[in-house]
Amino acid sequence: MKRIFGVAAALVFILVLPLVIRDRYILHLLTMSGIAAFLSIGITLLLGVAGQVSLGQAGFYAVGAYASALLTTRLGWPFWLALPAAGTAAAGAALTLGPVFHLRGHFLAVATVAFAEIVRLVLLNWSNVTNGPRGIVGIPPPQFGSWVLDSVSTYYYLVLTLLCGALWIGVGLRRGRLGRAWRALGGNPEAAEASGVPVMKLKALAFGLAAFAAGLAGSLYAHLVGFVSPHTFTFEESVRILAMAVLGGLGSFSGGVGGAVALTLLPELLRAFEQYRLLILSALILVILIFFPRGLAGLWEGRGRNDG
Amino acid sequence: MILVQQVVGGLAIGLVYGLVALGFVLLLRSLDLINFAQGEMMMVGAFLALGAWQGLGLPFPLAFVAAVLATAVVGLVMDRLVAHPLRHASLIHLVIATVAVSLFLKNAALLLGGPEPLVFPSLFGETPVTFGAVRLAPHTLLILGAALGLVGLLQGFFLWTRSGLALRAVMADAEMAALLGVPLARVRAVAFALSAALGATGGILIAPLVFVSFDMGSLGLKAFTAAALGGLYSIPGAIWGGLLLGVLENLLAGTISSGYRDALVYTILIAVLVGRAIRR
Repeated sequence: MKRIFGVAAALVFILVLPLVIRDRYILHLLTMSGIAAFLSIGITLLLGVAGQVSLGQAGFYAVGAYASALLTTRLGWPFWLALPAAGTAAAGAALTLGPVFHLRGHFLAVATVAFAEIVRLVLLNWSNVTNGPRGIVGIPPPQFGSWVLDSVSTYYYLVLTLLCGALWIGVGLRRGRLGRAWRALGGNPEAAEASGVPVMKLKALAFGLAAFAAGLAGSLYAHLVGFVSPHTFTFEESVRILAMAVLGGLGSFSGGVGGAVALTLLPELLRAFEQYRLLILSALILVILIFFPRGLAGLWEGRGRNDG
Repeated sequence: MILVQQVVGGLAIGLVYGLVALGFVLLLRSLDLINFAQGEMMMVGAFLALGAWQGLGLPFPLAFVAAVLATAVVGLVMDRLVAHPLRHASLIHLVIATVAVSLFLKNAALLLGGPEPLVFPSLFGETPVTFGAVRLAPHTLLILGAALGLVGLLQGFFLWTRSGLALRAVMADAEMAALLGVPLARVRAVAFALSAALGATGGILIAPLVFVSFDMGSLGLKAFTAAALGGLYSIPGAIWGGLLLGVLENLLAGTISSGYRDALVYTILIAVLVGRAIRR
């Protein structure tokens, strides 16, 4: 009961924010936090539930962003088609990794680093299509009929609506059979395989879904900012995405969203210390891993349970 | 003759990859850990050597040794502050922690050394040494000599010192070694220090060829590719893998751009890892 009340209060708070805050820049940051939350939900499912490390989420994020940017600027697709196409493209990229899902643990992590690096190098070098290091400019804002979503507050509500949908799907998946199978996979892959859990398919599905979420995030990012370039999708960005889930406490969606918001807003609050940003981020990851392994979720969920 | 030059140049870079790869292998075999900060040890070593040599004015051999030892201490600190507190945590947590350490070292270097790549002067100048029609950069010869000497030293460490013996025992069977009274914590510290030192050596040796910069740790992924080519758990394999990769890279230079060359190397890395996993 207390929990439902908490969720409702949080939702009302989030809904009225744009009415209270008139500052466009702050709204922009909050929208960016929502986009980061997609990345975080994906990796929370992947790492926190299914126990698979990805250090290459920036690669899927990039595929989504570039897919959406190219489809709208080159082929004239409307946003509402380009968005699901971006998610599908990223998920497709994850599924082409197929045989990679034979790998486990840290070897899988290295392969995802290599994958994201390959994506970045292709974006940098395939100039005919990607315009190389200069990136793609002039990505249009979303448009439904004659209604153009060019104000930050409408974009905020667009991201928020999609985010609620993603959270609902994520929580539902974790509760069901699939969630149980994923947890078995994360807990003990040998035992899971022995009891008939289709390990390869489940890994592919978890990666595909996480990539889909990252692809959507990429599309939303591209149409909010209007510009994409390879410099956004670095290894550091993959680490930042991973850090959201770590900060959230690995496995808690609410914690993961909190992690995404914190890691988007904190750097802005610490703007005076811009050059120390990544130094602080890395120290923060270490402190959380060593002293607070349950992360933010540990703060608001108390002891012993982890199912936010 | 160009071909011979390319191959010899590739062998020199390959030996550097091999040395750094050895650092990966040591931690994989003793702790089953991939240390994502291994590439940053190259960077730390190169920065410290450059500082000690050009900044403090120490003679090069002394600066070299001092930088390698100081980087070994960085490895020890990493063991003490990160790996030790996380020794009972899951492997995933430890791996993420090494990623954080890598990011930390990289950005500390960016703050202290600035974003501009620094030139690491070649010890013997730029005039090529000629053997008949084959012209080699003098630095290539230094790498070949120093790397081979180091492999010999390492062999001696493993064969004739107590720490080396303990490390070998842990690499063969950690549980059994612990039961027989090998102090695991100390061996872990030795493994961290030694792989950091190997990383630093590689970083210093390759520095004149690639500049010294905060982001030279990205070479770590190349070195890991070398380790993977050599079978991941094999000490001589790491060196062979490095040589293979170095020669391959040098032969590819000129046929495709460096961006696509690196993409190809990482594709090879994924393929080798997957191949190993499927075979087992």
